[in-house]
Amino acid sequence: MNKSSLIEVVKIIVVAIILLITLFPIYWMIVTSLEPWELVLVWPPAFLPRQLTLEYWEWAGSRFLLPLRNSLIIAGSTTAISVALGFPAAYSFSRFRIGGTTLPFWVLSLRFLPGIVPCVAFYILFRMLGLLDTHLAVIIAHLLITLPFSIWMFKVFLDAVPRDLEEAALVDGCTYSQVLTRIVLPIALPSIAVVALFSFTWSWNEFMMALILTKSQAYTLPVMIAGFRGAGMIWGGVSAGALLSLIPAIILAVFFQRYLVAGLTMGAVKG
Amino acid sequence: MGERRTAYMFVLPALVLLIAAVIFPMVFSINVALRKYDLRLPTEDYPFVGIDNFLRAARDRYFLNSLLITLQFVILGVALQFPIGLGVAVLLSRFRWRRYVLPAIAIPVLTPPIVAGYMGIILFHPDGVVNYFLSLFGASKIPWYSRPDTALITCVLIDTWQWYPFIALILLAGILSIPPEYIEAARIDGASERSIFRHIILPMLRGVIAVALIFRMLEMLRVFDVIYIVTYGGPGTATQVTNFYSYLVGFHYWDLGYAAAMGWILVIILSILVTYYMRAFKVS
Repeated sequence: MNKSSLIEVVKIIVVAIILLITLFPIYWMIVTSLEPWELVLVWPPAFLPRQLTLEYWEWAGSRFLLPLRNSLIIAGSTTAISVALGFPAAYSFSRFRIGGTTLPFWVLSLRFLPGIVPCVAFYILFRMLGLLDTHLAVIIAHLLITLPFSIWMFKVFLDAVPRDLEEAALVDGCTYSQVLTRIVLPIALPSIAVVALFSFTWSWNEFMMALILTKSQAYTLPVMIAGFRGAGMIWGGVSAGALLSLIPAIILAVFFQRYLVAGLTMGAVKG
Repeated sequence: MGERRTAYMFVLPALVLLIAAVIFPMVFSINVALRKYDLRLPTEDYPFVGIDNFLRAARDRYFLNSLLITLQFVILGVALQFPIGLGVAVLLSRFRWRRYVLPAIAIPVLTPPIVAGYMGIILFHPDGVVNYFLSLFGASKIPWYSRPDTALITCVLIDTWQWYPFIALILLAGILSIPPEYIEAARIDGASERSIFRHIILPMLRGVIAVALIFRMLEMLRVFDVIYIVTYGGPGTATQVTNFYSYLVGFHYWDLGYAAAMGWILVIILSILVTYYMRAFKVS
């Protein structure tokens, strides 16, 4: 074997190890959710399941229905509002150059705000308004992050779109609203899909605000899962619930991989 | 319709919501931080106490300790995640079947941190897979997250599983955007792979590295989820990072004023860090 093909083999082995470490925890949750409890914590671990059961999926199926529904409502509404309000606003920021240069700073600083700061404010405000433990409370709290994110991402995208077509349409007598809906919107559809998916995943994954603002009605999947900390006997059931909450992550990773870097860095790095 | 009127009409709905959901809560949170806002008090008005809450933090050894633990978490995390991320990025930039690998690498980054923590609990269990793997090399069972001296590093390892791909993906995007002619020209001139990496790739990655590092550092400074589910700040106070300690103060002891003040101290530290960092890296 010559030297360059040896290097190729080494590369493949190293990549395989990286993949194994990265994916094994997910595989292990699948196994945990399908195996009877007595077989989960045996020493040495059985890397292939020896006996399968759907008991824990049934267990999770009844208990995780409410948080699953809550997560869908909260993440769905947060996403819809972020896109519907963020897109026209971003169009304005991009085309009419209002907002100046302070906007990016705001967006970035909000993303890194320690959770306790907005949590204290939202908790007191929603308590006064009687909105604790409602979907609306969590949606508003999540908009704190997703709306600025959405405006910023759309602005980055729209800044890169040439204005010629829009100007031609304006000369032909279209109004700005028509330009926005008939010309800009179709071009922007991919970016809308990306922003929507990132907003959705962010809201879906968020834990601290959902934990503090909900109690027994509006709690989301992460809050439900965290509620089982220390309860060893139901690993299988919690694993099944945790796998449910992984669905958006997997969709985004598999189908929208090429937008990932731009989305994760809020456009600071182009993918 | 006037152009500026249209512009403001498009912005207005978002602006109203931003003021309601962003600016108002922020201002309100400062207001809370300046009051003795203790929900255990049998009163409805909470007296204004100026910067008392901030002064209290400066004397609170649990708070100061939490800052130290946060700092350890960030330093350990960056020390692990950056080299791994860089190594994986370089490897993948020269890997033919890269596009089949990338989706798998991306999954951890998009996983709910609570789920990542939950997986960590299973894997780092005393009878779990990690200890089994180590036992093959003769190690004895380690109770990873229930011992004060290993609990924090366990959380860092879980965070590393989740976030090394973030650094890898960003640096990979940076490496792939370097024009290949630069590297080929150097190779023709007889430069070794190592010196190509040191003198061409690394300098051109400067901006991308700056972004990746600042994102990670800021995210880790406000870590909460992994700590909450894996150790709940324990054992004792071994993993009580600042964001978690302020959560306990605010939502277990109901001293919201003090909790808000600690949050704002963290914000001040973050801002100083960002300003200094931007200057050091000359990024805008």
